[in-house]
Amino acid sequence: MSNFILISHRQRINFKQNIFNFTLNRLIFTLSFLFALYSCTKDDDKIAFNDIPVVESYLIKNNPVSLTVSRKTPFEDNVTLSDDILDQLQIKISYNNQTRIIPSVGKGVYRDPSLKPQEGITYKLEFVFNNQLVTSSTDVPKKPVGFHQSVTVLEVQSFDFSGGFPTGPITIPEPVKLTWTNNDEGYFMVVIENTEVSPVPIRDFGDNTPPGRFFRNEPTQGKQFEIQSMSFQYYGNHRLILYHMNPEYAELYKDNGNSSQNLTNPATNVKNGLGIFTGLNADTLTLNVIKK
Amino acid sequence: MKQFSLILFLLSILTINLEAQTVENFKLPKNYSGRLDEILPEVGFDLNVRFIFDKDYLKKYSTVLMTDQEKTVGGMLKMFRASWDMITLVGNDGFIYIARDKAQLELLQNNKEIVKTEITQSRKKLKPVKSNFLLSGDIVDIENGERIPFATVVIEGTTKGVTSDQNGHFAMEKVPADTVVVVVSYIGYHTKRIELEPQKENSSLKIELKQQTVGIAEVFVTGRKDDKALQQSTITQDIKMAPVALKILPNIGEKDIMRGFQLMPGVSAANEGSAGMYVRGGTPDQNLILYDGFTVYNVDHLYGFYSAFNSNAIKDVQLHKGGFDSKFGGRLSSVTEITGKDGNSKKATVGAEISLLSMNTYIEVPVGDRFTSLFAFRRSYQGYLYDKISALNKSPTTSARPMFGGKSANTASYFYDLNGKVTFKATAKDVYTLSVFNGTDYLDNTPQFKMPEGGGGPPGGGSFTGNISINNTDFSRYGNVGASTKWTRKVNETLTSDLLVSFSDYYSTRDERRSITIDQNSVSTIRKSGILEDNNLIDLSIKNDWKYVYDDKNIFEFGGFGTLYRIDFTYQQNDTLTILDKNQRAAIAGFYLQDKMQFFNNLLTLTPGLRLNYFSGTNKVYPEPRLNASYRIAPKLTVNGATGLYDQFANRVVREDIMSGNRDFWILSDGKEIPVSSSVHFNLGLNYDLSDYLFSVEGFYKLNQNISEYSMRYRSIPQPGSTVQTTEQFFNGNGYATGVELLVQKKAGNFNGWICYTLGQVKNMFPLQSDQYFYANQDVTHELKMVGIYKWGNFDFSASWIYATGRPYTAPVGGYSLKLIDGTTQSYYAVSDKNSYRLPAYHRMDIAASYRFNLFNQRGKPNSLSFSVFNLYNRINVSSRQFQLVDYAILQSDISYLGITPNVTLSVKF
Repeated sequence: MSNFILISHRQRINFKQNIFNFTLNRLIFTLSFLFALYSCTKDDDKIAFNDIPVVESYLIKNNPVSLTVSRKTPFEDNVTLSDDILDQLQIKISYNNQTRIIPSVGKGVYRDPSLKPQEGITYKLEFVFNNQLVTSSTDVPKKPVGFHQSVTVLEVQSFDFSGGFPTGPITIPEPVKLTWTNNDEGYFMVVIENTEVSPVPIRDFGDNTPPGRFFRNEPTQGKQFEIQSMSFQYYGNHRLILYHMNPEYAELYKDNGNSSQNLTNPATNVKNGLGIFTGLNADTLTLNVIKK
Repeated sequence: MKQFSLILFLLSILTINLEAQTVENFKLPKNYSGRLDEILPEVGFDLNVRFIFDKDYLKKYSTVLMTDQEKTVGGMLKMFRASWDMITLVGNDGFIYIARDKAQLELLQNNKEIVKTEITQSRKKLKPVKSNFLLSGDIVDIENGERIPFATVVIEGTTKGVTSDQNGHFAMEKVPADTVVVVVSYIGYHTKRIELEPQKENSSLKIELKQQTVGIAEVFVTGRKDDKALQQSTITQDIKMAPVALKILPNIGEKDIMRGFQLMPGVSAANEGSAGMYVRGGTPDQNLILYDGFTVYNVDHLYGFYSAFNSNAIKDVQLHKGGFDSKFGGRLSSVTEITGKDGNSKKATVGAEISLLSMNTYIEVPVGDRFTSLFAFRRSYQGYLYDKISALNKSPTTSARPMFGGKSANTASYFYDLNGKVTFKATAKDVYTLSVFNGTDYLDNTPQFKMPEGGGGPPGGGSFTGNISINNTDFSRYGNVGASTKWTRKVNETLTSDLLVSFSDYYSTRDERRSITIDQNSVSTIRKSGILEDNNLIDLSIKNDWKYVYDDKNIFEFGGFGTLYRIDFTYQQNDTLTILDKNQRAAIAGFYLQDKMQFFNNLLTLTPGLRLNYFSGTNKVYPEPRLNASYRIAPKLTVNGATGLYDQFANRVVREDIMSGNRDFWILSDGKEIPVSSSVHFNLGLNYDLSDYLFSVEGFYKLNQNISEYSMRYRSIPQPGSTVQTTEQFFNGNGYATGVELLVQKKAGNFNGWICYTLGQVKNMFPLQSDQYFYANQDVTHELKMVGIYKWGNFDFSASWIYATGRPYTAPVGGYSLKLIDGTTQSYYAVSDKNSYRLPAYHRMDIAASYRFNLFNQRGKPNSLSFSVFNLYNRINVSSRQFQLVDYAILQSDISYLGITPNVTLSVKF
């Protein structure tokens, strides 16, 4: 066969092929070893901790200004914190071309009894922390208008789960309907507070910790809220407080997730800081929850 | 380190030269008689072994091989040595050499390539009758008459070749002479050589290919397995798959086409929780999935551990990794094209499979000569595997479901899928098909409570004459139903058309409502609370595709398409309160045109194309120019490249839900909040394809614009009757995905497999969040995959090892709390820059062994028993991390993927 003349060239290829087979096997070893080594030794990259202050201040109409500054707690050791002392900061609030230095009352709290926020005025916060200028600003929203409740007295049946499921006829009353005026998509929230000195529970809590005196709805841009009778935990007088708030406060109620798949930074209106500096205004109604 | 020693040990077993031959034990399936140079290729074909010999030498000898005498290959060779003093050798390379003496044996070993082409050259002495004629035909499976799509048809010894269309038809213009040899190959089938005969009418051939039963592994995946195929066709960055070959690879209970692709370069493997594919840095919703022409919107079964496609009903799968043809559009990243089986046209068959997860049956019934039909049904049962995976996907925290002392009962969950296809060959030129698919998951965690009827009176006294019942519903149902009817018309041998009308419906419902019914004195009061979420997408489409083989230099493809979308999404609470109610209607319509052109004796192939989309959601036209090219630098060395513009109008949104698994739903771009996203692809590849080995390097760069990320959070307070507030926000921005893929594959021999490595980076920037680019959630820097397959008689052994860099994630770096005006104190995390941490690396090894056997009087060993172990060394791979803030300390818990899981599958066919 004429093709057989190419002997020397073909033999070289054959030799290469054997070398290749040999090399391939070794390559698998080497690669797997390298990767095994790599994955054993590599650490997560450390992310620098940024020491920024946490501000908490609600400017409520006619209530003295109070502000708390704290630090966020680092989750890792060996972080560097700034030398600033939380009670020795120079906290400034300016409004209408005036600037006030708010005095410290200890434990990171600053209070000025003479400064009482008013509607329609913009308040600006300013202080230095960790060599950075921390700023924020807010204004006090208008007092809610047209706050109305469907009933002032609510009859609720007592439940006793201690002996199993309750017995006897059960009636569940209609929810208490709260309405207010909201023509400009403002944010509102209702907080319901039992004001009795020693409130009587509606149902037996068993071994569970008794629930708190407060409950609330989510911040809403709507103009109504229905309180289900099941929401009440205690008999007695309740305050129904309707807060008119700024969007920055409503943001605090967003879920920031707790899984690495969905974690986001919490909302804040403090520049170079965290937390909240916001104005609020409220109107209050009362409701008596009595035993049926 | 212990785990790694184990990997190294197992790899060393695999890499030892396992070519110890068992070929000699292969039994001769039938009697042969004639000249040795003629019968040996026939034996080789039947047993899938290759004989290397000098034709001139062997043609002097003739024999009769009787199955009862020689029985095995070894016996036959022994007879040759004894009768004619020949030298035989079963080589380490898997070939069987037959020679006169040692010197000739050495020559043969060094010249096995030349020996093969010698046969072709001798045919050149024949005198052609016709030249430059049109050769066309249809390619079918010899056993069951299935039409074979995307098979390669090549003229041996030349660079000329075409690919059959989805219906198995091909047309090749200007075939040089009617003395040529046509080589037809298709993955999972024996390559067939057809020697055209000058005296015969060669037009409209019917080519029958035979499925490989032994040695299927060596052609498992890749569009480049056959050197001949590679030389001729335009090399695009595609992966082909033969679903029939899947069973020899390790699996978690089901042989799964999507999992198969994940072993190849460019398709990320570290996603146990998603059957949808992450192709070249794209997300699963950027991958268009077409099943017999209709779009499938949901591919997940059981939290994404399995895909909704039953591999028993699938004939062919093509994955276009990027730079795809103008025929496809509406997605940014890639296309998965699935063709269902037509059904056996020769005889009725029934098959069944049972694994630790599901039961699977299929039936193929031909009616007369013209009808074929196939029905396949698969349903999971709540056995060990189902429960194990379910438990993995339940929240580690306790359920918020109220428990009134009732017993949790009646929890039933399952998935099923159904495939049906009816094909009617009306005339030689017209074929009608109807294809139906339904894959659904039903997860029910509903506990049932019933309070005792009044009268007996529980302790505590009091008389009660009514009846109270509480019904807690907690179920999810999601899936996809789709159907298409297609009319395939062969106008003539060079002009074919497909007219397709299709329907696809994606549905997802989650019902988590509680109803309390109080019957008293004939008055019934019902109070309902909880959540009802419902998403429904309907896609009505029409497509008309044409293919015209103009001459040997130009193949035109063109067509028109139109889709009507209807998407509804509602989120209801407490019977009455509808929190979200989205109703979207839109249409997409357009046309496309492309020309596959060949230059320089077919060395250069250029495919320019244009796709024009009109989208009613924005009332705009989106032109998409495309270009594909390949150039054969040397006989075995090819360079290919592609570029193009791609737009996406429908997006899948994933809403995180820790309690019940993530919920996803589809929405359309509106041009405002959700812009139409677009991507520009640049691909470049280099392939060096030897007869036994393939070396491939492919690089890609994708520039993505106007991509959206969705954030929708519901926050409910554990207070009965309180409302749920929703906030939703879209973040829009730009990004890019880039990477390099390396593949080394050993294609032939009893021991074969591949190693692939992908280096990649995906980054996005959303100006609303930050002005910095961040690693996208799906970013994987390094990914290494090794697959080894060893055939030993009727056994197939396989092992795979996967290593991937951990996914990026965001972690809390500090915590703080605020006292809110409602009297509560709320804790917050301050988090790191987005995705600046990495989860631990993902790696795992899977192994499998499968045994093929005959039942009763069967031939070809169609039955198999497979045993596989998933995650052999029980690596705890982390899917995500959960954080809890307790007393200013962060508690971190890892949510992990599946640990070591063995499985057995029995598959029988009648």
